[in-house]
Amino acid sequence: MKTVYLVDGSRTPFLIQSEYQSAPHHSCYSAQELAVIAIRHLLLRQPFNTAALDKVIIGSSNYKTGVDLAQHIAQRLGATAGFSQSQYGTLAGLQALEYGHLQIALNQQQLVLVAATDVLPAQPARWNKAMYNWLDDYSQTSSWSKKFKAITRSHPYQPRHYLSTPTQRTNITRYAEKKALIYRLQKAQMSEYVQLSQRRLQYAQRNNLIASLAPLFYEDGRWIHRDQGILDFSVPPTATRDSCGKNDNMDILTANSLASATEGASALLLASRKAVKRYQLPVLAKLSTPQWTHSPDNKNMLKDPPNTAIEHALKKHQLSVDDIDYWEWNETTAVEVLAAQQHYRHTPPVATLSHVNIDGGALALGAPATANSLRMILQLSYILRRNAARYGIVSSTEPGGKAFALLLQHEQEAEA
Amino acid sequence: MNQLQHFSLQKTADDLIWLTIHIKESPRHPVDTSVLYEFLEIIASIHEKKVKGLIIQSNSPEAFLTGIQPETLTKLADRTSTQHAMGFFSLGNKLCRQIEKLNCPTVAIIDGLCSGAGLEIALACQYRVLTDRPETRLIYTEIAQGYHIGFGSITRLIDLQGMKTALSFLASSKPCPGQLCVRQGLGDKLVARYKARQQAEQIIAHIYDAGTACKDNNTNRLLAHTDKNPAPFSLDKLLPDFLISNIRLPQDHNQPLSSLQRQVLETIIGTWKTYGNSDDAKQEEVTTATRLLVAESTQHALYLQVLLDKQRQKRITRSQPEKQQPPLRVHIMGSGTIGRYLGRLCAFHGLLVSVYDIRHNALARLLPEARHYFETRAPYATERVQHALDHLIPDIENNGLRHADIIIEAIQEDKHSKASLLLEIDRGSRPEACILTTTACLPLNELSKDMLRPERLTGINLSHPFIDSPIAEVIQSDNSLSFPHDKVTDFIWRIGRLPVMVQNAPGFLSTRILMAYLREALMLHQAGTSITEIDTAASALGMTFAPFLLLDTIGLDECLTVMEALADRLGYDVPPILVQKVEQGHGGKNAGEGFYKYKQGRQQADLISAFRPSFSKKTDSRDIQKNLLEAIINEARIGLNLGIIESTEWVDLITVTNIGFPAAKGGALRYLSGKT
Repeated sequence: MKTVYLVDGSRTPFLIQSEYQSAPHHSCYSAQELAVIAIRHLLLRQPFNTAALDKVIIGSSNYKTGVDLAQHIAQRLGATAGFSQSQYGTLAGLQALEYGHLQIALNQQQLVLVAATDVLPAQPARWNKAMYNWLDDYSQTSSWSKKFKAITRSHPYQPRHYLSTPTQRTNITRYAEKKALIYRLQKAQMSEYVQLSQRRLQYAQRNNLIASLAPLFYEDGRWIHRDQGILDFSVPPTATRDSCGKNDNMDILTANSLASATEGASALLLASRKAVKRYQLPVLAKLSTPQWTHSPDNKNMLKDPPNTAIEHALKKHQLSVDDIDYWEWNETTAVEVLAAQQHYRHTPPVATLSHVNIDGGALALGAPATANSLRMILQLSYILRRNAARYGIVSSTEPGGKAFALLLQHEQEAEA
Repeated sequence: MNQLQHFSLQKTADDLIWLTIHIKESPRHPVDTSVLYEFLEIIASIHEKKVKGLIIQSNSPEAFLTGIQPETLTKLADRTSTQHAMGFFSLGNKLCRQIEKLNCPTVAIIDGLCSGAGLEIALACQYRVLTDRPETRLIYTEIAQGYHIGFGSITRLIDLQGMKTALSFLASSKPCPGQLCVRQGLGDKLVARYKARQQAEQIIAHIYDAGTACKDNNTNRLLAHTDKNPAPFSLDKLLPDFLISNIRLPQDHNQPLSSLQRQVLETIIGTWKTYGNSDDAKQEEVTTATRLLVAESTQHALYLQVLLDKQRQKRITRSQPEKQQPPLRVHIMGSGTIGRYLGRLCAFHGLLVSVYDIRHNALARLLPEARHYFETRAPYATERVQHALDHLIPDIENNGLRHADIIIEAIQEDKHSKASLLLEIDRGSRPEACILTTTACLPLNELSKDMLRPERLTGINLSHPFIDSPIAEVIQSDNSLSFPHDKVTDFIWRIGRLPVMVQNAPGFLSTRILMAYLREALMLHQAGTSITEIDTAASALGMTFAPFLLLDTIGLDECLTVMEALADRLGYDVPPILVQKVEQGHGGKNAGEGFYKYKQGRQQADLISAFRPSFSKKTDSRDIQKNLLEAIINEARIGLNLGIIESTEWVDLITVTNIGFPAAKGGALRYLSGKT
């Protein structure tokens, strides 16, 4: 098994779903184009041409079937010397990463490009429940004065929540509520964590700590060079979510404690030791083998660790929880991070959340379903480098029991 | 039949004759007298036989058949005896007539460039099948040089398309891509390359299908019963007699017709008016073509064209074929007008470009302008446009500097900022990279004083994007004679421009002459003549760019900056009226008002001042023209005497392409030598 090095990465800013859905193509970018922008921003910094890439692996959670995303992207970039592969599904980003890792570790490839891109599907109407209620009222008004009154009471647009179909949403919320009940988490804790995440993101943005962001320039003259914040501060922090609908008094999750879905792409460049030497590439981190576990009926959520894959990763490298310097937990809901905090309460870095998600997470940024995982890896490697730390873990869990963990190892500039 | 050099015949089992063209002189298939003789022989032999159909195709993917080669052209265009020209044109005319009179259907498969004489021959065939490659284009280049090829097909073209469409096709200087041709009726079918042969066979098979072939009464062609009327219905094909007198030349505000084009089109309209679409018209084309070819203005235009072709030949013999060239990375620092223009050029020709600027809004203008440029240059070629846009990267972090092969610095014309930027480039780039700077008048030695490796620096001067000249001036600083500048010239060839070596003088040659021309116009205006009079006099003279329109389009503040920089070094005064206008805030077209008023990019007619009594001096337009010409010619002579450029021919070329000197008068110095 060869070592896999993470050389560099790049991502686009994560966007709220573009309002110009019906406008001509130059006002918004498709998933393919976001990926191309992120990748070429990354490749501009490398000394080799795109033809030197051995494999191009792209992951995307929903893409039109019958179109091979990776082949198109590879053709557009001129990276047709190697083979390209697409992965589809909600875990596509991590699957792509694992596939890329295996190619270098076992299959003797030298340079592999892994990217994940997501765009929210176009929706005819993106209104929330309040808007539908208002439309109902408006359609029942009879006179002009009543209509005028109704217009003055119209509600602003609110961003969509994490997943589109109601059943998936309730899956996540159900799972999160169960966890919150078991770990006895309060609404105040959740809202406080959300605000913490937001503050950290803003700090990182102000101080240019965000890992390489490729600015988006549109053909109508606009440009976006920062992540668009998606939190809605008009709602009081402890207000509950509107998703389940039936028992508002029993809602446990706060309004913003579910990460919203956004659009974006991120790309990582993996290399083998031979390629690093050949092109004299500066290395960000060494990646260990990604670990997956699956425990479908997790009845004992309190006793079992929130992410069983972490144990496997640590065991493999003979490390303990105290050796890990920085963590990146996927913030699908605030509940997960708070559960981890409780579970690892004997480890100060995690218990005080001082070394977890220090540059903000998905709650503040929003997350394209697949690109978020690659973003976490990239951000963590930048954090390790700037703090001269050694070990970091990227952890992600999915409702339904799947868990993923990846150990990152940063060398302290031994080879200059 | 004698041994055929340029063609090969093949008869298939179902009585079809396939004629393949493989002219051995060049893969661009120029048409020559020997070619025409052989072709005539072949057609004569087909006449006697019983044949189902004739299909003409070309062996080279680059061209079907193109125009006449420059050497033959100089022989034909001999003014002393019109015999050669007359003989050549009547030969071709006879050929086209024979092709038309064949009693079997003829199909031409056009894959690649089809222009001039080749286009005339293709129009003589009954059907044309075009391939959908972007290289397949039809263009009549000879019209821009002031003559047409008298094979008789212009009458056929007018017959096919109608007068209005035909005139606009002939007047256009851009090649007509496949889709547009089919839509306008020039081509009949548009297919992929591997299907072209099958399509041609199918057309012929349809005609003989079940014996229900019918004849189209207008064009005397055999039509298949399943065929729709091949040419689209257009009202002006039914041109009744009283409309003939109202035929107007096509007007295009962005690119007005030059006098050369006008002379050809007016001749064509004259022939049409007299002869209609009879056979006499086709015969008359021979005489008109000869007359146009030996006219003086055409001679001048041909001289310039021959010069250009000679320079382009040098490239083909010297460098490697295009497919083997390694991918180049270009990094442009500064996203102003010139920086963005260079970015568009490089991306359009397949290079990977990153454009860097510290301001976001300058970079934001890059992509919309680029898309517009690509779509006008390569209409219907969506793959090429997408490839170009993918390879044009707006870079806000200066990532592209470290690994670029060619670095171009295109920031404001300020000595200190340029010098410090060059230092930064010198330290941050690869040692083998070439550094180009787009200064118009700063001496290179001063800029490269503190650099570690000053021999890498070369200066390049492309004209303003509005002028879009095919010539780029290259200057080297004195101590760069050791560094190979082949890479720079190769790069300039790759972006489609012709490099010419120029000495290290302020303003190089083209900016110097251009500023002299504009300065003279400003002085005339200052002395009292009105702007419209000067502009009309310049257009009547034949200048491609009227001075005040050009000033407005380039931008008054840019012109002022350049003029001030040159004024210090060349010792003249900047006209105060320009300073006044810039101080008043009239920046030009983009600012809404310059010397003229503009609204959304279009010039507003100044109706009020047309009725107001004008207080300007009534100058004779001949005086205005004399002054303008003198300014240009004087500056050109100074340039030549100072040794800025090596030969008079280059001076002629540059005055025509960069300044807009009328091509009908040759270049500035040729005009001068003609006068004296």
